[in-house]
Amino acid sequence: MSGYAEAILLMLAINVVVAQAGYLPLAAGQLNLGVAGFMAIGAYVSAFVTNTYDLPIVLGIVSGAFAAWLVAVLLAVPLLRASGIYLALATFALGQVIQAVFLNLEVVGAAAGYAVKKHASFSLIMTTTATVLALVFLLSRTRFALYLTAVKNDPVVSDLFGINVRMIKVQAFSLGALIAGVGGALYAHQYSYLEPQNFNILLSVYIVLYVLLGGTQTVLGPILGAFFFTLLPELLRGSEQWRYVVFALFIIALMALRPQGLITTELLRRLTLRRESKG
Amino acid sequence: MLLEAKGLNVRYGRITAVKDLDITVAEGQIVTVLGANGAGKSSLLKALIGLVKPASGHIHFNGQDITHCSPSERVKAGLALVPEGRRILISLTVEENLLLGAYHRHDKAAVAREIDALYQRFPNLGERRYAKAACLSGGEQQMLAIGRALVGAPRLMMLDEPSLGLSPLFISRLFDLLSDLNRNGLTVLLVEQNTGMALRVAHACHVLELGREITHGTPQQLKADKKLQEAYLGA
Repeated sequence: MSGYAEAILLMLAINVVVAQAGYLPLAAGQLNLGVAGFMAIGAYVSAFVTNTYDLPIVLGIVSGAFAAWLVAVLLAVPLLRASGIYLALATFALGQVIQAVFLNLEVVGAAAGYAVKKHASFSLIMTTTATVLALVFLLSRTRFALYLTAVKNDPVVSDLFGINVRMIKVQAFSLGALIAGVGGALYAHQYSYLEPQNFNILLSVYIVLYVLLGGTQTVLGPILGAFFFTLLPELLRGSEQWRYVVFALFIIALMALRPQGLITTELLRRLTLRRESKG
Repeated sequence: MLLEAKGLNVRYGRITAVKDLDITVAEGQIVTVLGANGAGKSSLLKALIGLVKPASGHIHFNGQDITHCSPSERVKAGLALVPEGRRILISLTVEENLLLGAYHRHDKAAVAREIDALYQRFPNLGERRYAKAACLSGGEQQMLAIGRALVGAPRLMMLDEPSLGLSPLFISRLFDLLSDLNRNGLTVLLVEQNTGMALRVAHACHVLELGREITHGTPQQLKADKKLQEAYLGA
């Protein structure tokens, strides 16, 4: 495999992971614009513990994911009092705060950046990505996915059936943060150098776009969205100056023509029906 | 008494929606609450299921004080509400909607049997169990909303304007269904604007106006009251 192809594949794997981090909260109706902040926590914590205590990378990823999850759980109760556009603003602010904290944290290099000693192998990143996807897929087969949709569609009615709406919201938010932590840790051990501005608001917006473009109804949607966002700019490299213009126009066109995202449950159902009737 | 509310007051800011209301529902009855728009009927049901906190008053269900219980605790205790406008989750399938109604139950086998029995009773729902609830007609959605409440195995089912927006055929099927469920032991508290049908099936009846109860009695007593008929029951 050429170095270029490998680099693209690694970027794709990390993007696919963080797309799931944006998907879980969105599946419960939360627009989380602070995903990049949780990635930063995962990245810095994993880098710090592997640098300082010489832990294996896998333990670093676990620590980073746990730290992001913990922060999310602690902040979920006050944050999730808001919903809709207010929740989006609150998570946006949270992402900025986290970024600012790392910008001032001398122990991880502050504004100068932080070198990550341990470099993850290609196979480790791919295995981790596959594990995250498998777990999210398994989760989507359980009743939990049903409760997420119910809470998103009608919290009042969900409450009436005895669904613990607040608990489901906290779980969706914190599981998303956990996965963002994994994605951030992978990023740290892939690019070997961390700067707070790597985790800016644009990254959070991109992650949300992966999900919205791919579709919020299935696990496959965000994966396709991440593929699309990672590969299309590469394919458009032919026209260097215009590629982002073309790319942006493409996004606008897609959102106008297919606002529900590329992949919907209806589409999957029709595809499986066709396969069954052929088989 | 299965359900007993005493001195119930519901306020939204400075507006009083329900004022000093006493209401009792005996086991095995169909009790109906009638009144014009703004009479406080929906607020009463919301207070009984716990979606709004009453400003004062007490609610007892099955001998237990549930005034400060959450909606989910009340549902577990055996209350169910079929909300106004049905509130079906249209992006879920028919079956998923029914499964949500059984959220608090852990006897999965029994739930599956009861859902199958519902499909027997409502073949339209059975045929479309894997279809999105969005593709059901208004009447079918109402049946689904009632089915969703039934799989929670309630002792008292409260319905908020279930006949709203239904065709006359579906309305008579709906009231036949309620009578039938009642004969099989379900207690029903019904809020309706369709007074004719409600009085036909009810054992007891309360009439509200601007949050206060103006009278109560059996359907025969209310039908005999000429002034009441003209003023409130539109007959």
